[in-house]
Amino acid sequence: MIAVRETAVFADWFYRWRAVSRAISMAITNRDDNASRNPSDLKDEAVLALSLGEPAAFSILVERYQSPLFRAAFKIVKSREEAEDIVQESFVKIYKNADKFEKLEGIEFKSWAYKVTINTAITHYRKLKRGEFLAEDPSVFQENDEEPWEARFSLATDARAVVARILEKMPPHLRSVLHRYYMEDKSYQTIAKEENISIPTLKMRLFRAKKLFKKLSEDPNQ
Amino acid sequence: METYTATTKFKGELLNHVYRVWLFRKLVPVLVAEIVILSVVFYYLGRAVFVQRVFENALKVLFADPPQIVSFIVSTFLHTGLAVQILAGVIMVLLAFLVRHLTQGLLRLILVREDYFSKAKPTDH
Repeated sequence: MIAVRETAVFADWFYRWRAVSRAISMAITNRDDNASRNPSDLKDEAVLALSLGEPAAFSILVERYQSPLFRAAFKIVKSREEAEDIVQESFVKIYKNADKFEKLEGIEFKSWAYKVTINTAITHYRKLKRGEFLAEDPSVFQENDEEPWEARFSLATDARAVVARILEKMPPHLRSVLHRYYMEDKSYQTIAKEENISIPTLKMRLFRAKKLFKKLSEDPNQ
Repeated sequence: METYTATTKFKGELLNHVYRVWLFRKLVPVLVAEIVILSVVFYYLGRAVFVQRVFENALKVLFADPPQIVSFIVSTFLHTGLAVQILAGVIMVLLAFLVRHLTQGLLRLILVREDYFSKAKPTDH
């Protein structure tokens, strides 16, 4: 009889302790209860963070992005086998650099994954010496029923050519900071170090570069 | 437009690669550190205690009267010096960690091989 009562007390204590620890865990990780039960409900960024400790969880991201990333790679290398290799390599790169991604604020996993895939595909393409192909806008590879992919892709390529023409017209010191910040996605610290200038100077230079870029894009005859 | 459905082989290879990255980055360094510390502790324990004789006595007790092995271990532990008791405690803790990490590695390998998380579909809200 005493043993039964003790077991009941222990069970009660155990369930209370489990409820408290779960509440603390949820508060720390900022997740809701459903999400903690089913990883498929988590956002991409959360799944990536989870997969750092639980590699099998990475399959959720593979399921979500294998097809769009394959399309992105295929449009560049035009070969199914190579595109498959690129997707595989890109996923591994994504996993290897997942801890670095966690530190980048305000960047969506989707954009980052596309960027990694496209850069990997371009590197493959260059190795094969088939010329150069550049398309860094990830939205180009998203599925859209209203607009054919070719039209959107062509638009992005045209836009890139326009941007390149405007950049050519700009003074080298302004062009360089603009390119490094927007095209190469480098941080203020990195650019300031590379340009050998202070961060306030860099900010001012970027401001002037953006202003000039806007002016040149509005009036191409200048 | 080229459509793509990944084969099980493709996904399996990819997840195996991811597992290897996790294994060599997260688990192997911890296991190596634990084994190194364990070796050092064992070395100092070996200098303080005649380990071979303890094992010989333990085997004698085990073959003569198996239930007595527990009291033998307790008695041996209690009748030794404090330093040896601490070293033995540290070894037990390290062995527990080692077993825990090896189990984790094995469990994660099974989850990767089984592609466990693909079977969990998003819940309807």
